[in-house]
Amino acid sequence: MRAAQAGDQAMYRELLLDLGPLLGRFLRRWTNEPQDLDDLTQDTLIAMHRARHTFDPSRPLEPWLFAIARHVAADHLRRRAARLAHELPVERLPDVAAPDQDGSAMRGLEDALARLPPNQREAFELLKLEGLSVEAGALRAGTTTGALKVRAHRAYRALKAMLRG
Amino acid sequence: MTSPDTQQALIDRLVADATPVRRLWPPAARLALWAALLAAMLIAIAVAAGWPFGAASRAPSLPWELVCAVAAALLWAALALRDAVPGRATPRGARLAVALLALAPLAFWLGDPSTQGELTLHAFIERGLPCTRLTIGLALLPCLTLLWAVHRGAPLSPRRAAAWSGGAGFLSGYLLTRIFCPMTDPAHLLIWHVLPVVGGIVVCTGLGSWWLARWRRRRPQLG
Repeated sequence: MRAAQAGDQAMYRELLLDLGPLLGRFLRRWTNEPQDLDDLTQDTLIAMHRARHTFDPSRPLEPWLFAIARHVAADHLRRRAARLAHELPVERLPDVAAPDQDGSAMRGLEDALARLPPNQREAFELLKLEGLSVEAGALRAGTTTGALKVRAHRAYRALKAMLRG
Repeated sequence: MTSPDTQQALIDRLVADATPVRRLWPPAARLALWAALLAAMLIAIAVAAGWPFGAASRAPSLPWELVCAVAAALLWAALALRDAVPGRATPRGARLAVALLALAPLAFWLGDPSTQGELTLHAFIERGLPCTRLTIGLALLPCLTLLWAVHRGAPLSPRRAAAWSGGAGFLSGYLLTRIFCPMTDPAHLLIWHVLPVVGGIVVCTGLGSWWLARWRRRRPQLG
Protein backbone atom coordinates (compact mmCIF):
# COMPACT_ATOMS: atom_id res chain seq x y z
CA MET A 1 0.00 0.00 0.00
CA ARG A 2 2.92 2.29 0.68
CA ALA A 3 4.02 1.79 -2.96
CA ALA A 4 0.46 2.43 -4.12
CA GLN A 5 0.40 5.72 -2.20
CA ALA A 6 3.59 6.67 -4.02
CA GLY A 7 1.87 6.01 -7.37
CA ASP A 8 3.40 2.60 -8.19
CA GLN A 9 0.67 1.28 -10.48
CA ALA A 10 2.05 -2.25 -10.87
CA MET A 11 2.16 -2.80 -7.11
CA TYR A 12 -1.27 -1.26 -6.76
CA ARG A 13 -2.72 -3.63 -9.35
CA GLU A 14 -1.18 -6.57 -7.50
CA LEU A 15 -2.62 -5.33 -4.22
CA LEU A 16 -6.11 -4.85 -5.65
CA LEU A 17 -6.06 -8.31 -7.23
CA ASP A 18 -5.00 -9.81 -3.87
CA LEU A 19 -7.62 -7.90 -1.94
CA GLY A 20 -10.58 -9.02 -4.08
CA PRO A 21 -10.87 -12.55 -2.62
CA LEU A 22 -10.04 -11.34 0.90
CA LEU A 23 -12.83 -8.77 0.73
CA GLY A 24 -15.19 -11.33 -0.76
CA ARG A 25 -14.67 -13.61 2.25
CA PHE A 26 -15.06 -10.76 4.72
CA LEU A 27 -18.20 -9.36 3.06
CA ARG A 28 -19.89 -12.77 3.03
CA ARG A 29 -20.93 -11.96 6.62
CA TRP A 30 -23.37 -9.42 5.23
CA THR A 31 -24.72 -11.15 2.16
CA ASN A 32 -24.60 -14.44 0.35
CA GLU A 33 -26.13 -13.19 -2.88
CA PRO A 34 -23.44 -13.22 -5.57
CA GLN A 35 -24.67 -10.00 -7.20
CA ASP A 36 -24.68 -8.14 -3.88
CA LEU A 37 -21.28 -9.58 -3.00
CA ASP A 38 -19.82 -8.33 -6.29
CA ASP A 39 -21.35 -4.90 -5.76
CA LEU A 40 -20.01 -4.71 -2.22
CA THR A 41 -16.52 -5.83 -3.22
CA GLN A 42 -16.39 -3.26 -6.00
CA ASP A 43 -17.79 -0.47 -3.86
CA THR A 44 -15.25 -1.30 -1.16
CA LEU A 45 -12.39 -1.17 -3.68
CA ILE A 46 -13.62 2.23 -4.88
CA ALA A 47 -13.96 3.56 -1.31
CA MET A 48 -10.51 2.17 -0.45
CA HIS A 49 -9.07 3.89 -3.51
CA ARG A 50 -10.60 7.22 -2.50
CA ALA A 51 -9.36 6.84 1.08
CA ARG A 52 -5.89 5.50 0.24
CA HIS A 53 -4.18 8.67 1.46
CA THR A 54 -5.45 7.95 5.00
CA PHE A 55 -3.63 4.63 5.32
CA ASP A 56 -0.70 4.72 7.73
CA PRO A 57 1.96 2.23 6.54
CA SER A 58 3.23 1.78 10.10
CA ARG A 59 -0.08 0.09 10.95
CA PRO A 60 -1.58 -3.18 9.67
CA LEU A 61 -3.75 -2.96 6.56
CA GLU A 62 -6.63 -5.19 7.70
CA PRO A 63 -8.29 -2.97 10.35
CA TRP A 64 -8.22 -0.03 7.94
CA LEU A 65 -9.54 -2.06 5.03
CA PHE A 66 -12.19 -3.93 7.00
CA ALA A 67 -13.46 -0.71 8.59
CA ILE A 68 -14.09 0.61 5.08
CA ALA A 69 -15.68 -2.68 3.98
CA ARG A 70 -17.92 -2.76 7.06
CA HIS A 71 -19.05 0.78 6.38
CA VAL A 72 -19.75 0.07 2.71
CA ALA A 73 -21.72 -3.06 3.64
CA ALA A 74 -23.78 -1.28 6.29
CA ASP A 75 -24.49 1.55 3.87
CA HIS A 76 -25.50 -0.91 1.16
CA LEU A 77 -27.84 -2.83 3.48
CA ARG A 78 -29.39 0.41 4.72
CA ARG A 79 -30.07 1.55 1.16
CA ARG A 80 -31.47 -1.85 0.23
CA ALA A 81 -33.80 -1.82 3.24
CA ALA A 82 -35.00 1.66 2.27
CA ARG A 83 -35.57 0.50 -1.32
CA LEU A 84 -37.46 -2.62 -0.22
CA ALA A 85 -39.71 -0.50 1.96
CA HIS A 86 -40.97 1.18 -1.21
CA GLU A 87 -41.39 -2.00 -3.24
CA LEU A 88 -44.36 -4.35 -3.22
CA PRO A 89 -43.47 -7.98 -2.59
CA VAL A 90 -44.81 -10.49 -5.12
CA GLU A 91 -45.90 -13.96 -4.12
CA ARG A 92 -44.08 -15.69 -6.92
CA LEU A 93 -41.89 -14.39 -9.69
CA PRO A 94 -42.68 -15.63 -13.20
CA ASP A 95 -40.17 -18.21 -14.40
CA VAL A 96 -39.88 -16.74 -17.87
CA ALA A 97 -40.14 -13.30 -19.34
CA ALA A 98 -43.34 -12.25 -21.05
CA PRO A 99 -43.49 -13.68 -24.58
CA ASP A 100 -42.10 -11.53 -27.34
CA GLN A 101 -42.51 -14.02 -30.17
CA ASP A 102 -41.96 -11.67 -33.09
CA GLY A 103 -39.19 -9.76 -31.27
CA SER A 104 -40.99 -6.45 -31.73
CA ALA A 105 -40.67 -5.42 -28.07
CA MET A 106 -36.93 -6.00 -28.12
CA ARG A 107 -36.56 -4.08 -31.37
CA GLY A 108 -38.64 -1.26 -29.89
CA LEU A 109 -36.34 -1.10 -26.87
CA GLU A 110 -33.24 -1.12 -29.06
CA ASP A 111 -34.66 1.70 -31.21
CA ALA A 112 -35.57 3.70 -28.14
CA LEU A 113 -32.10 3.17 -26.66
CA ALA A 114 -30.50 4.30 -29.91
CA ARG A 115 -32.49 7.53 -29.79
CA LEU A 116 -31.30 8.41 -26.27
CA PRO A 117 -28.50 11.00 -25.83
CA PRO A 118 -25.16 9.15 -25.48
CA ASN A 119 -24.62 9.95 -21.79
CA GLN A 120 -28.13 8.77 -20.86
CA ARG A 121 -27.70 5.60 -22.90
CA GLU A 122 -24.39 4.93 -21.21
CA ALA A 123 -25.96 5.41 -17.76
CA PHE A 124 -28.78 3.00 -18.62
CA GLU A 125 -26.43 0.39 -20.02
CA LEU A 126 -24.04 0.53 -17.06
CA LEU A 127 -26.73 0.29 -14.40
CA LYS A 128 -29.37 -1.88 -16.05
CA LEU A 129 -27.65 -3.98 -18.68
CA GLU A 130 -24.27 -4.52 -17.05
CA GLY A 131 -25.77 -4.44 -13.56
CA LEU A 132 -23.04 -2.26 -12.01
CA SER A 133 -23.59 -0.44 -8.74
CA VAL A 134 -24.00 3.33 -9.00
CA GLU A 135 -20.49 3.88 -7.60
CA ALA A 136 -18.83 1.45 -9.99
CA GLY A 137 -20.90 2.81 -12.88
CA ALA A 138 -19.91 6.38 -12.04
CA LEU A 139 -16.27 5.39 -11.98
CA ARG A 140 -16.59 3.69 -15.36
CA ALA A 141 -18.38 6.69 -16.84
CA GLY A 142 -15.85 9.06 -15.30
CA THR A 143 -18.51 11.05 -13.50
CA THR A 144 -20.03 11.44 -10.04
CA THR A 145 -22.65 9.13 -8.57
CA GLY A 146 -25.15 11.99 -8.43
CA ALA A 147 -24.68 12.86 -12.10
CA LEU A 148 -24.98 9.22 -13.13
CA LYS A 149 -28.22 8.84 -11.17
CA VAL A 150 -29.66 11.93 -12.86
CA ARG A 151 -28.69 10.63 -16.31
CA ALA A 152 -30.18 7.22 -15.57
CA HIS A 153 -33.39 8.77 -14.27
CA ARG A 154 -33.71 10.88 -17.44
CA ALA A 155 -33.04 7.78 -19.52
CA TYR A 156 -35.83 5.83 -17.75
CA ARG A 157 -38.26 8.68 -18.29
CA ALA A 158 -37.38 9.08 -21.93
CA LEU A 159 -37.55 5.30 -22.55
CA LYS A 160 -40.92 5.10 -20.84
CA ALA A 161 -42.29 7.91 -22.98
CA MET A 162 -40.89 6.40 -26.18
CA LEU A 163 -42.10 2.86 -25.47
CA ARG A 164 -45.59 4.07 -24.63
CA GLY A 165 -45.73 5.52 -28.06
CA MET B 1 -20.28 -8.65 -18.91
CA THR B 2 -19.43 -11.26 -16.30
CA SER B 3 -18.48 -10.39 -12.74
CA PRO B 4 -14.73 -11.08 -13.04
CA ASP B 5 -14.70 -8.93 -16.20
CA THR B 6 -16.44 -6.11 -14.39
CA GLN B 7 -14.04 -6.34 -11.46
CA GLN B 8 -11.06 -6.44 -13.80
CA ALA B 9 -12.34 -3.36 -15.63
CA LEU B 10 -12.77 -1.60 -12.29
CA ILE B 11 -9.26 -2.50 -11.19
CA ASP B 12 -7.88 -1.21 -14.52
CA ARG B 13 -9.71 2.05 -13.91
CA LEU B 14 -8.46 2.39 -10.33
CA VAL B 15 -4.89 1.59 -11.31
CA ALA B 16 -5.04 4.19 -14.09
CA ASP B 17 -6.17 6.71 -11.47
CA ALA B 18 -3.44 5.76 -8.96
CA THR B 19 -1.46 8.97 -8.95
CA PRO B 20 0.82 9.62 -5.95
CA VAL B 21 -1.11 10.89 -2.92
CA ARG B 22 0.03 13.01 -0.01
CA ARG B 23 -0.34 10.86 3.07
CA LEU B 24 -2.50 12.19 5.87
CA TRP B 25 -0.60 13.10 9.03
CA PRO B 26 -1.36 10.93 12.08
CA PRO B 27 -4.30 12.17 14.20
CA ALA B 28 -1.95 13.05 17.10
CA ALA B 29 0.13 15.40 14.94
CA ARG B 30 -2.96 17.05 13.53
CA LEU B 31 -4.42 17.39 17.01
CA ALA B 32 -1.21 19.09 18.17
CA LEU B 33 -1.59 21.68 15.40
CA TRP B 34 -5.20 22.33 16.32
CA ALA B 35 -4.27 22.57 20.01
CA ALA B 36 -1.60 25.13 19.08
CA LEU B 37 -4.27 27.22 17.33
CA LEU B 38 -6.53 26.99 20.38
CA ALA B 39 -3.63 27.89 22.70
CA ALA B 40 -2.78 30.93 20.56
CA MET B 41 -6.39 32.12 20.70
CA LEU B 42 -6.53 31.44 24.44
CA ILE B 43 -3.35 33.42 25.12
CA ALA B 44 -4.47 36.32 22.91
CA ILE B 45 -7.84 36.52 24.66
CA ALA B 46 -6.35 36.10 28.14
CA VAL B 47 -3.88 38.91 27.47
CA ALA B 48 -6.68 41.11 26.09
CA ALA B 49 -8.90 40.40 29.08
CA GLY B 50 -6.15 40.82 31.70
CA TRP B 51 -6.13 39.04 35.05
CA PRO B 52 -8.42 38.56 36.90
CA PHE B 53 -10.54 37.48 33.94
CA GLY B 54 -14.14 38.70 33.83
CA ALA B 55 -15.84 36.32 36.21
CA ALA B 56 -12.69 35.13 37.98
CA SER B 57 -12.98 37.83 40.63
CA ARG B 58 -16.47 36.61 41.51
CA ALA B 59 -16.13 32.91 40.66
CA PRO B 60 -12.97 31.42 42.15
CA SER B 61 -13.63 28.13 40.39
CA LEU B 62 -13.36 29.72 36.92
CA PRO B 63 -9.81 28.42 36.24
CA TRP B 64 -11.00 24.87 36.93
CA GLU B 65 -14.02 25.38 34.73
CA LEU B 66 -11.72 26.56 31.94
CA VAL B 67 -9.41 23.56 32.42
CA CYS B 68 -12.42 21.23 32.07
CA ALA B 69 -13.60 23.05 28.96
CA VAL B 70 -10.11 22.89 27.38
CA ALA B 71 -9.88 19.16 28.16
CA ALA B 72 -13.33 18.52 26.69
CA ALA B 73 -12.56 20.56 23.55
CA LEU B 74 -9.26 18.73 23.00
CA LEU B 75 -10.84 15.32 23.49
CA TRP B 76 -13.73 16.12 21.15
CA ALA B 77 -11.20 17.31 18.57
CA ALA B 78 -9.17 14.12 19.05
CA LEU B 79 -12.26 12.00 18.39
CA ALA B 80 -13.10 14.04 15.27
CA LEU B 81 -9.59 13.57 13.88
CA ARG B 82 -9.57 9.86 14.69
CA ASP B 83 -12.95 9.46 13.00
CA ALA B 84 -11.36 10.82 9.81
CA VAL B 85 -9.16 7.72 9.51
CA PRO B 86 -10.84 4.36 8.76
CA GLY B 87 -10.20 1.80 11.46
CA ARG B 88 -9.19 4.40 14.07
CA ALA B 89 -12.64 5.29 15.44
CA THR B 90 -12.84 5.31 19.23
CA PRO B 91 -14.87 2.61 21.03
CA ARG B 92 -18.42 3.47 22.04
CA GLY B 93 -17.76 3.59 25.81
CA ALA B 94 -14.90 6.05 25.44
CA ARG B 95 -17.00 8.17 23.08
CA LEU B 96 -19.78 8.35 25.64
CA ALA B 97 -17.33 9.33 28.41
CA VAL B 98 -15.82 12.09 26.26
CA ALA B 99 -19.28 13.34 25.27
CA LEU B 100 -20.28 13.58 28.93
CA LEU B 101 -17.07 15.43 29.77
CA ALA B 102 -18.49 18.41 27.87
CA LEU B 103 -21.00 18.77 30.70
CA ALA B 104 -18.26 19.08 33.35
CA PRO B 105 -17.85 22.89 33.08
CA LEU B 106 -21.54 23.23 33.98
CA ALA B 107 -20.92 21.58 37.33
CA PHE B 108 -19.03 24.67 38.51
CA TRP B 109 -22.01 27.03 38.31
CA LEU B 110 -25.23 25.13 37.57
CA GLY B 111 -26.17 24.77 41.23
CA ASP B 112 -25.33 28.38 42.18
CA PRO B 113 -28.19 30.65 43.28
CA SER B 114 -29.43 33.16 40.71
CA THR B 115 -28.11 36.68 41.15
CA GLN B 116 -30.17 38.28 38.42
CA GLY B 117 -33.63 38.16 39.97
CA GLU B 118 -33.99 41.91 39.82
CA LEU B 119 -33.09 42.19 36.11
CA THR B 120 -35.78 43.08 33.59
CA LEU B 121 -36.17 40.88 30.54
CA HIS B 122 -34.80 43.65 28.37
CA ALA B 123 -31.67 43.97 30.50
CA PHE B 124 -31.29 40.19 30.60
CA ILE B 125 -31.32 40.06 26.80
CA GLU B 126 -29.12 43.12 26.45
CA ARG B 127 -26.45 41.57 28.65
CA GLY B 128 -26.75 38.15 27.07
CA LEU B 129 -26.68 38.79 23.33
CA PRO B 130 -23.04 39.98 23.18
CA CYS B 131 -22.00 36.74 24.93
CA THR B 132 -23.84 34.64 22.34
CA ARG B 133 -22.33 36.62 19.49
CA LEU B 134 -18.87 36.26 21.00
CA THR B 135 -19.30 32.52 21.60
CA ILE B 136 -20.34 31.95 18.00
CA GLY B 137 -17.70 34.30 16.58
CA LEU B 138 -14.86 32.76 18.56
CA ALA B 139 -16.04 29.22 17.76
CA LEU B 140 -15.91 29.71 14.01
CA LEU B 141 -12.15 29.50 13.48
CA PRO B 142 -11.52 26.36 15.60
CA CYS B 143 -14.67 24.75 14.24
CA LEU B 144 -13.92 25.40 10.57
CA THR B 145 -10.25 24.44 10.82
CA LEU B 146 -11.20 21.18 12.46
CA LEU B 147 -13.89 20.44 9.88
CA TRP B 148 -11.36 21.14 7.15
CA ALA B 149 -8.82 18.82 8.83
CA VAL B 150 -11.42 16.05 9.09
CA HIS B 151 -12.48 16.64 5.50
CA ARG B 152 -8.90 15.91 4.40
CA GLY B 153 -9.39 12.36 5.68
CA ALA B 154 -12.09 9.82 4.96
CA PRO B 155 -14.65 9.90 7.78
CA LEU B 156 -16.74 6.75 7.65
CA SER B 157 -19.35 8.35 9.88
CA PRO B 158 -19.56 11.93 8.59
CA ARG B 159 -22.36 12.90 10.97
CA ARG B 160 -20.43 11.78 14.03
CA ALA B 161 -17.22 13.43 12.84
CA ALA B 162 -19.12 16.65 12.16
CA ALA B 163 -20.68 16.53 15.64
CA TRP B 164 -17.27 16.08 17.29
CA SER B 165 -15.81 18.91 15.20
CA GLY B 166 -18.71 21.23 16.02
CA GLY B 167 -18.50 20.28 19.68
CA ALA B 168 -14.76 20.97 19.87
CA GLY B 169 -15.17 24.28 18.04
CA PHE B 170 -18.08 25.53 20.12
CA LEU B 171 -16.57 24.35 23.40
CA SER B 172 -13.59 26.49 22.41
CA GLY B 173 -15.97 29.38 21.81
CA TYR B 174 -17.52 28.77 25.22
CA LEU B 175 -14.25 28.81 27.10
CA LEU B 176 -12.88 31.84 25.24
CA THR B 177 -16.07 33.79 25.96
CA ARG B 178 -16.01 32.79 29.62
CA ILE B 179 -12.66 34.55 29.96
CA PHE B 180 -14.34 37.81 28.98
CA CYS B 181 -17.78 37.47 30.53
CA PRO B 182 -18.08 38.83 34.09
CA MET B 183 -21.45 37.12 34.73
CA THR B 184 -21.79 34.24 37.17
CA ASP B 185 -25.56 33.84 37.04
CA PRO B 186 -26.62 30.30 36.02
CA ALA B 187 -29.59 31.53 33.93
CA HIS B 188 -27.34 33.85 31.95
CA LEU B 189 -24.72 31.17 31.41
CA LEU B 190 -27.25 28.52 30.46
CA ILE B 191 -29.13 30.64 27.93
CA TRP B 192 -26.43 32.87 26.45
CA HIS B 193 -23.39 30.58 26.72
CA VAL B 194 -24.54 26.95 26.72
CA LEU B 195 -27.47 27.17 24.30
CA PRO B 196 -25.31 28.65 21.51
CA VAL B 197 -22.93 25.72 22.00
CA VAL B 198 -25.77 23.22 21.68
CA GLY B 199 -27.20 25.06 18.67
CA GLY B 200 -23.77 25.28 17.09
CA ILE B 201 -23.23 21.56 17.45
CA VAL B 202 -26.62 20.83 15.87
CA VAL B 203 -26.00 23.17 12.92
CA CYS B 204 -22.44 21.92 12.47
CA THR B 205 -23.64 18.31 12.51
CA GLY B 206 -26.26 19.02 9.86
CA LEU B 207 -24.10 21.01 7.46
CA GLY B 208 -20.81 19.30 8.26
CA SER B 209 -22.10 15.77 7.75
CA TRP B 210 -23.11 16.61 4.17
CA TRP B 211 -19.71 18.17 3.46
CA LEU B 212 -17.69 15.44 5.17
CA ALA B 213 -19.51 12.72 3.22
CA ARG B 214 -18.15 14.13 -0.03
CA TRP B 215 -15.03 11.98 -0.01
CA ARG B 216 -17.23 9.02 -1.05
CA ARG B 217 -18.51 11.00 -4.05
CA ARG B 218 -15.19 12.53 -5.18
CA ARG B 219 -14.79 12.38 -8.91
CA PRO B 220 -11.84 10.20 -9.88
CA GLN B 221 -8.94 12.13 -11.37
CA LEU B 222 -8.43 10.23 -14.57
CA GLY B 223 -5.79 10.67 -17.19
